[in-house]
Amino acid sequence: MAAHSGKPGGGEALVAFFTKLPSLQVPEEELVIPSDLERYGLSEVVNRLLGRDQPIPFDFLVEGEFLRSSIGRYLEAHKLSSEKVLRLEFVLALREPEQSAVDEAPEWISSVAALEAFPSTWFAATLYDGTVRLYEGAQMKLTTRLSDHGLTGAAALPTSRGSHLVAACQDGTLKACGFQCGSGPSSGAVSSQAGAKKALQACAIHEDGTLLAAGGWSMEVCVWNVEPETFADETAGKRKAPHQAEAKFTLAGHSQVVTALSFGKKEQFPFSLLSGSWDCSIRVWDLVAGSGVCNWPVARAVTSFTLNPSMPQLATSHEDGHVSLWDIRAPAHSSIAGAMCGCLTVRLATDVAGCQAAVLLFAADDTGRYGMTLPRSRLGSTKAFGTVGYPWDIYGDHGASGGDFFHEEC
Amino acid sequence: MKVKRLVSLLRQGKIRPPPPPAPEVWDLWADEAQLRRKAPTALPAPKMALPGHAESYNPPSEYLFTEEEKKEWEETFEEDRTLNHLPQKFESLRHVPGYKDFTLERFKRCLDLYLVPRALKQRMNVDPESLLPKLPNPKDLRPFPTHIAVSYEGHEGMIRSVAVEATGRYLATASSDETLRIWEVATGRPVRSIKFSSAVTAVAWNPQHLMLSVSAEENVFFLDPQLEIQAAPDGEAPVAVSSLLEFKEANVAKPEGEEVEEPTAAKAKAVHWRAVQPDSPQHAAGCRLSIATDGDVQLLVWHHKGNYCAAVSPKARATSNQCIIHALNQQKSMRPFARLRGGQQVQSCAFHPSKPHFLVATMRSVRIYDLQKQAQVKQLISGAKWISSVTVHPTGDHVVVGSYDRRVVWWDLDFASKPYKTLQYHDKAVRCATFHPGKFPLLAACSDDATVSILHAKVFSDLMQSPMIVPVKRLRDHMVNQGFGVLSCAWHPHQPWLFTAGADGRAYLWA
Repeated sequence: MAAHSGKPGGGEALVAFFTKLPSLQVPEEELVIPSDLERYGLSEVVNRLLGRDQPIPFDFLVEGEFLRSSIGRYLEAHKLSSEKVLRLEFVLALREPEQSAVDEAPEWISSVAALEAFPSTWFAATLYDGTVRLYEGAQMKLTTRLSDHGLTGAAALPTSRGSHLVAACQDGTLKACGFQCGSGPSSGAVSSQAGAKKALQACAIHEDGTLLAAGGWSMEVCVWNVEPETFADETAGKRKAPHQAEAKFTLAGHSQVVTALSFGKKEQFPFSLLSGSWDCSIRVWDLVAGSGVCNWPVARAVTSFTLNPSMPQLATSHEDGHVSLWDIRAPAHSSIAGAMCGCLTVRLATDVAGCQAAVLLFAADDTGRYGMTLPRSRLGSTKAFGTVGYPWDIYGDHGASGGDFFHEEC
Repeated sequence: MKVKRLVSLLRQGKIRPPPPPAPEVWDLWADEAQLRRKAPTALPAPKMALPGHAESYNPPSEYLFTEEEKKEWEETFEEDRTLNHLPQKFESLRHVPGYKDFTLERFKRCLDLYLVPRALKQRMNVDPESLLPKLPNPKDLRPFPTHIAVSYEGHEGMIRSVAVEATGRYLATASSDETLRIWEVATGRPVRSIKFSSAVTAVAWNPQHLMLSVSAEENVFFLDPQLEIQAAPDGEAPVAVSSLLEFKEANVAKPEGEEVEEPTAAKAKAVHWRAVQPDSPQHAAGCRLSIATDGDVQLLVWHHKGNYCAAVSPKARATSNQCIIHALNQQKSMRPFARLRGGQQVQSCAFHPSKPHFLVATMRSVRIYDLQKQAQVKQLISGAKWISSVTVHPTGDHVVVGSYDRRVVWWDLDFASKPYKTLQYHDKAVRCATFHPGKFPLLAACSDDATVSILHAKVFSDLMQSPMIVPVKRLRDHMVNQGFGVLSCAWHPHQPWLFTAGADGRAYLWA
């Protein structure tokens, strides 16, 4: 393809490349290139300008957004003339991550929690034999036994000295343990919180670190206070294992197993706890009063959910492989018929070979993207995707951002 | 003067003029115009064709028939011939003979003119599409299972039976590789794998307690898989299950001649309850009670209160042993069907969800018995030759049967014993048909062609509307193995999910 200076003819466009990468600077001159070039073709042009013999894949941003179609289509979509110079910033393209190491755990992995603030290199994986394995990057660094019975769900909170991990156990107790990540990872004493009558399925820890919540097959959500000895160090004397016998309060209301829990963030839902269950509803509970606030009906059994931190949007994942986005703007009622409208449901394509489409975990980061984990026997595979354009126009600035699809084997 | 008076009276109307004289002739056809109906429009006979070149006495040579054409003309029927004479060529007009068919032709023409009835053919303008019933779009009838959500991998042989626990947390599969496996429903993780000494043929969870009844060919076991974990040892342990399964010694102390005393079952093998030996591998897995029966047990069904378990063994030698009801609390077995009228094999059975009725499906019919009154309530007959399974709707008013001659037959118990609908959606035998036990109006039928058909079966509570049955989905992921397809299916108790188990050794959860 010919890139030359001059006037753009039919099917050509004027572009200027620039970058913030110090080592890969190109002269900022205007070039005329064919307008049907996409990322790969543009990448070739830049590589030629740099004079590299080993080409590096680049990704291109226009006005701060990734260019996901050809230049000609972008110009058409934004009604720009081909005479206008398009300033393209190029960055290093995010490659599909390669599997660097596989750790074969002896039992099924039930959940994975990040021990530090996102992005985190420390992960903890809970297993069905009651142990927790700590990983730094791809290497397993530490194994701790929390219980003799299986652990089903886990949640972690990064703290100043390390992180606090809570795990829901199949014997109906919530196990809590403090971990120190670093050169010599260590775990603190394991404390257990009892009060649930049947096996627990999901747990959550408040972002202040003051409350713990767990829910499971008894269809109730139990909330505990965090005492000083909940996340005590191992070295703090050989006392009897810390044990809380009663929950601070128990929230009943779901009619099926509680599968997902999350404390509301301070900006969005202060003093509240959200729980999702197989009875096709997400309930909001008030922590101060200890009672339910409202109930959001979603059409299918919920396996996990997350709230978008910047918009009144809720994303739920279901056992049949659907992911639904809900608008929670309307005032919530305390009756069953909550206000849920404008649902966009995306059916996950099983493009990962042999993957079952049961989505079990969800996490949202600040830019409004969601990551999901699809468990598959002993290995987990993570998919992340950006929010696709949705029907309502008020939040038009999000428009149709392309989905960044990448895989990670962990 | 008299005339003047008469005229004035006439004018006043006091004298009427004399009536006209009676007619001398009578109109015969005055009334007939009303009686006679309009005659059909007379269609004239078609005009006769004018003679053309082929009728000439000296036609051009191309109009004459060749030998083949002549033979062909002679072989066709008279009505089908285009020309009703053979074209001939003569040198001159005086050589032309008389036309021998002249009179016949004139006669036929006269018949055509006055004797043949002609009428316009009335054609019906009916669009065949409009005759089909208008069924709703399956998209409006969601939710129903459409694709595989979880697959349970681990069995090596055919999976004969699948059963889901009452809370929907665990799934049990019985396979001909002699193992019984228990799985977690949501994740597909195998929780237990119990080995028996022969192929495991049927499994059923107790609706009230967390225990199973399993049959391995001729033996029925009651099994406590110890799935409930209690954290604190001083807490209330669930003693209910383990106490239910303690063997009661009282039943054993009976004389050996017990078999001879039973009047109705002279040839029948008695059914003995035994405790499982503490050193056997089954005991380690949780089996506590075992019953030795006669004939392979193909189906186990629990009563909803959790006390009675019915076992069906079609191949039992004695008729009374084909359907036995075991009582768990009393640790006794009852054989209520000593002599089945009709003498056919029992294929399947079901408990009624609300009334004390018991349904027994033989090869051709379904009989409903009242267990309290010990009498037959009804017999349902269909055209099916070999019934494979029977299921009752949760409301208790509808019975569906799957049969080996590819049919699914639906009876409404309010009607007579004739079926309400017979559905044929499969190419091969229907092995199992089940209703959803909860609030979803779904019916699943699995068959030997390795597909499962999902039907939306909406039953209306008002008596005026009959049930609406709409096929919504066909699930196709299983494979045929040795002529068997999907052997068993079961619905999740409260979600619109279906568990299927196939002869290819795979069990799936469809959501």
